[in-house]
Order: sequence, then C-alpha cells, then structure tokens
Amino acid sequence: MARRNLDILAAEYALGTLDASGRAEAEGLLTSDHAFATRVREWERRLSALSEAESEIAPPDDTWARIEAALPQARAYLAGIVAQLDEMRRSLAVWRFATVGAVAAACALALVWIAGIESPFNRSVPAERYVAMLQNKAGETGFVITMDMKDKQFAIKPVSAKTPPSQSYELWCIIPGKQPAMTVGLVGTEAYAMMDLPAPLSREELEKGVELAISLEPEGGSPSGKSMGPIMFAGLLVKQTP
Amino acid sequence: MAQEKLEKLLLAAANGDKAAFRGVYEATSAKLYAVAIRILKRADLAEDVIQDAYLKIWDAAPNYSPELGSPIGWMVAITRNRAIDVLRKRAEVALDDGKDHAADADDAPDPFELTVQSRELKALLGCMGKLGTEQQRCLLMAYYYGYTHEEIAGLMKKPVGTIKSWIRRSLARVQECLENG
Repeated sequence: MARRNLDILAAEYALGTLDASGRAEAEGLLTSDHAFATRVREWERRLSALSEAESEIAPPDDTWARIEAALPQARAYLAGIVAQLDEMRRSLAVWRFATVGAVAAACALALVWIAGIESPFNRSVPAERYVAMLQNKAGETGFVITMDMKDKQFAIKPVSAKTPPSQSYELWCIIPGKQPAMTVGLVGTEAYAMMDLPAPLSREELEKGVELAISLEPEGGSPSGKSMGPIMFAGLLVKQTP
Repeated sequence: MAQEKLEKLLLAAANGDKAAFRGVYEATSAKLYAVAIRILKRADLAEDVIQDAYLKIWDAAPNYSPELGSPIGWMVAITRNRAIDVLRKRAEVALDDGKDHAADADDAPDPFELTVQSRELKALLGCMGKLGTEQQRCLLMAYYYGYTHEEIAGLMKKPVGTIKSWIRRSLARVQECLENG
C-alpha cells in the first residue's frame, strides 16, 4: 500500500471509523510497520484531547477488585524498586531463583559467541571468565554479558532487546553488601560493546553473587545516578571457566 | 489529578507497585468508563472493556512516555481501541445496532463548549473549527461513538462515498493545520 494510503488508514484507525476488517488490517500493521505505528500514536495523541469533553461515570464498585485479581503475579517481584535499591536486590533474588535453569543455556550461548570472536592464539590460555544472561520477565534473553577477571571489562552483546523511542537502557551492577547499585553506563541494542567495571569485583563478591540489571530510563540515563526506571532485564554473573 | 502526579503513579505502576496502580485507577476510571459506555451503550460490556483496558495499561506502563501524550489521553486511546474492537465484533454477529444513532447525535459531547480546554484541545479545535459544520460533526460522532463510515452516512443522510471523502479530507486538513499552524 502506498505511504499516503497508510497515513489515511492510520488516521481512520485512530478516529475509529474502520470496520472490523479495516481494523484487523491496521492492527497487523501496528506490529509490523514502525512508521505506521508512529502515525497511529500521533493521531491518538491529537484526538485524545476530545475526551476532555467526555463526562465522568463511576464504574461499578467491584470493578477494581476484578482488575486487581487479574493483575499478573509475575510482576510482584519487581515491586517497590523505585524507592529502595534494597528491594531491587530482593526482587532480583526472586528473579534469579525463577531463571536459574537458564544459566546453563547462557554459558552455552556465550561459549559459541566467544569462540567466534576470539583469536586462536589466546584460546589455549583461558582467562577466568564470568557470564550473565540478562532476561526479561517473559524469560527472553535481551543481553549476554561476559566479564574477564584479567581485563576488568564487561563485554555486552545485545541479543533481542529493542529500546523504546526516546528512552535509554542503563546497566547496573549490584554487588552483595554494597549499596546502592552502581551504574555501568548506557547500553545500546545494536552493537557489541565493551564497558569498564564500575568498581573492582573480588572473587569473594562474585561467589556471593553479583547481579547485573538493565533498567529503562529517560533518554541519556537516570538523572539521579540511581535506578529510577523499571528493570527490564536482569541476570546473575556466574563463573564460566573451570 | 495533576498530570505530573499521574505520571509518577504510572511510573511506579510500571515497577509493579499495585497501590500506585490503584491510584491510577481511582483518578481515571470514571473517565474511561464513560468513554466505554458511550461507545458500547451497555454497562456490562463497558465494565469488561475497562477491565481489559486497565490490564493492558498495567502491561504497557513501562512503555508510557510523555511523548505519547498526557497519561489520561494515552489511557483513553487504549480504552477506545478496546471498546471499538468489541463493538465491531458484536456488529458482526448481531447487526442489531443502527437504531438509536439519531438520539446519540443529540446527546454528543460538544468540546467547543468546554470552558476549560487544554492547550492540545485548543489547538485541535482551532483546526477543526476551520472545517465545515457537517464535517466537524462527522469527526466528533466518529470519535465519541466509534461509528463506521456507513453508520455516519446513515446518520447524516449522505452517501457513504461522500462521508468517506469528507472524513479523509478533514483529517488531512486537520493534520496540515496542526503541523503548519
């Protein structure tokens, strides 16, 4: 369909005049065509001002109870991280428990990746290496991060994550016994990147369990230096080499 | 509720804070329910729709950003989409609507008469005000009631083709006016 026709379809979808088949077509495009989705959001934003003239009618009393009962329990582990980084840690511990089975897969995946980038000369002397597979609440891997004890850097490999427009992903390092979480920096979703550790990590700390988490922050990162946005991906650094 | 406060509650809800989400619900449910009732005309269907809409809002809260508009505008859009989908599904099986559209027309909200208007609404109405009266009415009836082109044609007693081209031309003119002033 020509772009102009798509613009009209976007406007008519947002206005609400399309019939069932027109809406189905538009809803298909919403997930597959980024420009189309942007057009629809633009029209929805413009037209929504008209709802200021809509009256207010209180819904039946039990509506909230029905909604609350249907809220997914899976989100509970993320509760409260805005105010307390303590809680963030606890949340991630629950998360870790839920995804511990995925760690083996992370190691396998990382091995394949590392084999691909490493030269044959240093493969014979394996450095002590840690790996974290950062997953979202649906168990999808967004990033694989490896760390070498020798070069004190994280190697960040985006797998499937996409940053929403005008927001940034920020990587945090949560070390047991150290408050608060330390920012590592902003991470992109396109290219492989190397980033310095925010602080030296001891073997002891690594054995206790260092968490890596990626939060969604305003563009440019959290202005306060503390994680404010929702945690989108998290994972535990585990020792990969013997 | 002030927009900033609602944004804060949404952000907390994005982090899984159910108490904050209840605050979002308290502040917005009467508006969303009214939007759904106007489109569906049945309390039971409207209640189902806002329940679905709030679950979607809870899921999508991490994606909300002020660029998508005010929090309430963003939530209204989610609710309208859900309500119109339900309306179309019902029309497919029942085809029992199309009776009381004339009564709806008399009962439609008139945003031009609002004494307090947001900056966004003023801009939109400034542009809609340049359209003909009938064309304005088509857009408003489509927005508030979720009517199809055919239903608007019946209501306005005009051929469907005329209504389609009116609406398309009106939307294009409103867009141009909003973008270029």
